[in-house]
Amino acid sequence: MPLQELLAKVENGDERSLRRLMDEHGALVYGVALRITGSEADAADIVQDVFIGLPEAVPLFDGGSFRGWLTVLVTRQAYMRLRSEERRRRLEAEVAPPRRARSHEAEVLSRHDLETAIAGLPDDLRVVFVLKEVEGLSHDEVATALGISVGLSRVRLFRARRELMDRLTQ
Amino acid sequence: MKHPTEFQVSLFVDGDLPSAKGRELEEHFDVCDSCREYLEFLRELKAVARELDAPEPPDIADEVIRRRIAAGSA
Repeated sequence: MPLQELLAKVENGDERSLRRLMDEHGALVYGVALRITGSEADAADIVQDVFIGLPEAVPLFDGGSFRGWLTVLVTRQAYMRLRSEERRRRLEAEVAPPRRARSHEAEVLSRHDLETAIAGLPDDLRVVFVLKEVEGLSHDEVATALGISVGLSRVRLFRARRELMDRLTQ
Repeated sequence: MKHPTEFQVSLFVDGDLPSAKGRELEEHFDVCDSCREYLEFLRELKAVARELDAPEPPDIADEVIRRRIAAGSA
């Protein structure tokens, strides 16, 4: 079924079509939410919120990349949670920045090490790194999603890389 | 040329430098081990980031449908 047809059914409240969208895009939404918030509980809540509100949000889809549009949608929800002071206080004790000996000249960077290092980045840097480098959004898309300039997106990506290098090579 | 800044190398990795500046950096990487090493780290970081797996999402479909029905909008 073409995407536009599927989305039209979702907009009209068709349960099977919404389930199909969740099957096809649930992992994307959960992955973005989890990497941005660093919390499985928050990510699960965000996935629910995104899909519960999807039929009402679909008319706002501009017909470009649905994956990109959905990523922006979940990013905004996740970003709002990041700014919750209550959440920040709750996670403060949980986030322990990884520090392990490693020479990047001699070893290959492992996915596990990178996942751990990303989780320890400051919120503003982690969000940009996840969107740009993990999800493959452009700086234009990142800037739009976060309400920042393209230049600031580039600077934050650079600072994220700088911090990741420090964490992964010490 | 003198060493590029780390920010310039970051822009280079993303192809965000003007072409003339990019060529200048390429020439520098050919002769400077430390800058080339930094470049290679950033490239590796970029490649591994794209390989990260999407985590398995929780099964929330039934809950989403239930909440939509409860809200009277499904």
